[in-house]
Amino acid sequence: MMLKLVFRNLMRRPLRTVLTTLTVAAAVLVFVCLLAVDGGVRRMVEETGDDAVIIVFERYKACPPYSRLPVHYADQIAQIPGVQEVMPIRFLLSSCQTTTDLVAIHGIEPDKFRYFRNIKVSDDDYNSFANERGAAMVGRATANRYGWQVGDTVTLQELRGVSFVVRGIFDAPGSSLESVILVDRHFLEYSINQVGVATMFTVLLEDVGHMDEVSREIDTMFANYPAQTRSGPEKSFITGNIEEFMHMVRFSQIVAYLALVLVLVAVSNSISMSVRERLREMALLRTRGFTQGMVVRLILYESVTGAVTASVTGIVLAALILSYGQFAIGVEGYTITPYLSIKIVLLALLAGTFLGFFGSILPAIHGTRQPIVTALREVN
Amino acid sequence: MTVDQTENKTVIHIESVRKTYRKGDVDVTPLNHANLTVQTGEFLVLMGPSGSGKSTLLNLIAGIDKPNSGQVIVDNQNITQWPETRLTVWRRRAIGYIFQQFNLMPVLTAYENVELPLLLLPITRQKRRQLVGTALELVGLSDRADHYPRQLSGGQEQRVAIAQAIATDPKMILADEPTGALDSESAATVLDLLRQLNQRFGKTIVMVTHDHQAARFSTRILHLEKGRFVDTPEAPLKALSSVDAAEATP
Amino acid sequence: MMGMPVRYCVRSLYHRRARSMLTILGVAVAIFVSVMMLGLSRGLLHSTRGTASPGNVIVLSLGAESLEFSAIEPADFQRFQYDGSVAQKDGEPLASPEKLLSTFVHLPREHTSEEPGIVAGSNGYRGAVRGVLPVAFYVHEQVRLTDGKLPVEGYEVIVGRLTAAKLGVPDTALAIGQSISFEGEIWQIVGHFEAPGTLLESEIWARLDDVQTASRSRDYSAVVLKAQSPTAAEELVFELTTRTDVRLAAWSETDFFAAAADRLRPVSMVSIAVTAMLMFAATLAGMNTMFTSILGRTREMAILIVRGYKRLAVLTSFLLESVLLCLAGGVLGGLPALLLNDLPMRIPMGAFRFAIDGYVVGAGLLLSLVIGAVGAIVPLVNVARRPIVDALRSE
Repeated sequence: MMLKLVFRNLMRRPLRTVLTTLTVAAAVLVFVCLLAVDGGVRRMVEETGDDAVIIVFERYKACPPYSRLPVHYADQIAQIPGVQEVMPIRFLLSSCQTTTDLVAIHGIEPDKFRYFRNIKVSDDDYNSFANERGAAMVGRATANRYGWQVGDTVTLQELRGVSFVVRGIFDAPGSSLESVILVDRHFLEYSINQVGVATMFTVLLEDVGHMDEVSREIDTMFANYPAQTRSGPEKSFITGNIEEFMHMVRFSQIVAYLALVLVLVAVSNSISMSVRERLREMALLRTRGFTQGMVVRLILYESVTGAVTASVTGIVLAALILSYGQFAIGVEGYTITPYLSIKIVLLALLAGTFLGFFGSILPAIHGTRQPIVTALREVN
Repeated sequence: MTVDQTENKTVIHIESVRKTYRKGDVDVTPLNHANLTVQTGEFLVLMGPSGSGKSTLLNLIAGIDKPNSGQVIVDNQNITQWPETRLTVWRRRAIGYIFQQFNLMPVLTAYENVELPLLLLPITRQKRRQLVGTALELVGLSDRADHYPRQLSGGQEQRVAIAQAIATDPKMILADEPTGALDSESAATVLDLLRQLNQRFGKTIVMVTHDHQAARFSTRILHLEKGRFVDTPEAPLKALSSVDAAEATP
Repeated sequence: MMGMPVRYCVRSLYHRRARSMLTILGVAVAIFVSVMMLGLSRGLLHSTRGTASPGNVIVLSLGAESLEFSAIEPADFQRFQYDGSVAQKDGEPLASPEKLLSTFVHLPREHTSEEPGIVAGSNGYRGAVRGVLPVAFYVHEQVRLTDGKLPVEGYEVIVGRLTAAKLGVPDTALAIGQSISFEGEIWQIVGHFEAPGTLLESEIWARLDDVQTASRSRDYSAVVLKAQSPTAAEELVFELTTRTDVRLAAWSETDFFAAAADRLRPVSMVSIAVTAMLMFAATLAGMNTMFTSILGRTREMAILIVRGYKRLAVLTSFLLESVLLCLAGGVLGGLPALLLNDLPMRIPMGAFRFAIDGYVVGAGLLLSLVIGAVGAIVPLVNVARRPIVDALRSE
């Protein structure tokens, strides 16, 4: 019976219920999208950065194109105890700034690359890439965006006219790498006429526990060289690089949360008004033997049901928008895509429930606290 | 529904009850040391000017309201000081209340409305179904069971309200101007139903009304004047002296 | 035409003042935030476009569309700085070779405890450094020294009025006499400059020589030329890009920064999106409130009609109530925002100032009008169609 009452009351003024549901759904949509941005950042850092890898960058430099380290540093780094593998990488980015159409080429060493990164690609494709000068492995995201197929020859004007042949397309879900084009480092150096210069080194450790030690060792090693280094865990490196961008994101998030609070207030106001309209009816129930607690519960079920339905709508809409919208933003050479995790969905549902509960509990209690007589008198 | 066999048993006893409430800036005292006794099987009609506290009396009997002083004894229980929850639970089996308007939940069908008070009793679904069926049949609206209140006429709504009131087989039925919003034909139907409930089934009924036609079916008529119950209104002088109506013979 | 006393509208609003206040407050917050967001977006675009001087041409090395990747050989610079279309002053071409760095800037107290290594967040602050020759001040006419002096020798710098905002440090940290550290050297602040309406205002300017030494590279990031006139600038661009002896990319600054502003669209989009969502939510919320409020007064409306007021007049008065209420909220929200005009704001590209002018506030007020009107229209239309009799009977 409660269920019947709940649903029928919700449908009493369908337009109003629809409006309130839409409002809450919109608020949940915003909420979920914001959380998804954070989720995307977190995922990107998690997937792109390896826990056992140290990044060696040029000291004082902020942006990849400014970091120029002599390739021969790699030999010396390899001598340090605890170091398993060292690989120089040469970056070529279309822009350091925050942009929606980032193109990035990483010049790597194919024989060493797989120690550092786990990308999903067939061995055949990888081998044909490794054995051919001028071959490239393209991340799935970039390949899809430009419609490249295996076998295509691509020339990128915005990247100094570098030209390559696509020999494989790899998957690296959640990782920034999926937006990257991998080529042989030597080939890249010759293409842009700049041999012997690396943007950074990735250093694979035998034991993760020695990360800080080895980092310091590397920086001390080159402290007196013209090009000094700064080394540290890869994940921290990535986080540090996107820090400025995150600052901007946080600002937007604060604004958006403000919007949500606004909506909350409006919705709870609406609920309390709708409760007030039914004071007499609630009193009637009490004359028929329903206790105050039962009537309060009825109101609660009603608004929680409405709020949860709205939340689900908002979540579904968010999921659709995020998956079809293909939002990807490039920051300092890293690509961030919003990510909707189960945790976020649960959080949104919880938020919806809370909204329904707290938006109606006070009006419900207040409305039933009145002596029945007063409430009965209300209408007349 | 049971036929009440007990005779001449006091089912309602109001003793020296006083009720005051505030209306705007003024204090109104509809009941001032009022006394009333009702026996089982009576059809008591209360008449009097509008807003004179007749409804207040019904509310006191039903435990919806509390007097400022005095005692309210219903079915041998002194409910005057009872807490709300206890009253609510007691009310389920003790009282059937019919208002002038808006007795029904607009979102439920006639059947569901009658069923509503039964949901609060520890009975099986079959039993519930049976009781609803009987009640609706009694008021002659079995064919309208799945209609919503907005699909029913005023008279039909009131009849469903009666069905709802009797479905739980309460000790007594309280009716506050049940025909007040009806046309004369519907009013007659409703009143006839109430008469049947009283004469055939021996239900105790206390009805507040303006309708002099209704008074015809009553076993006793009382008027409320200056906060007390009197037999007839044409004795203004009598009302000045403190005459109690309690000992009036049916 | 009204036939409906304005007094009734105002009285009604006052009678329900708790709810009216709440609505006004809600609208005020929504409008305030929207105006701020619009002001932010507008300020950003203005500053970006404003960095351009109409007669200037910016030259980068070919194949590098961003300043970060450009590298022009000094020898090549010699070849084109005397191009005929370049304006001259005192016989010297107004050609400014510049070296730009996006680098970490450290403040003195951190400098001493600085350790080599990367820990997220303690790299210092990101600054934009521009190494220039004195001719730069003639080419970038918007830049003016406000106090102190120009850098003369030995790692001296001047900072703009918004530099502190960009770095996220208090102004006192960049007072004259303070030192900062970048590229492994310590630099002393000897002056301040202003360049209102441009992104240059958040930069750190130093001597070209010093910057080249500290970054260990002799090439130039860019060369900015002042053409003899804005039309001459187009010619200059053509000449430079068609040269065969040097491979250059050139644009008029106007075009260059217009393109940069376009690329900033993600940021602009975010603020627009947030504003749109806010508007949607506020309108829905307003509609909700209006709905409930109007529904509660259908009987009132019916009685008015019975008393002789035309239906249209009654409905219009309700619409007016709603619009008035929301407009009040708009004013309440828009005015404080006006006070926050010129507030410095920091984003990865640089620092700029909020541009909250009449246009933006006007847009805000318009939005509040929309909320009021749209919020009331749906419930009113819904109610308008009901026959009077039903309305009179409603609970």
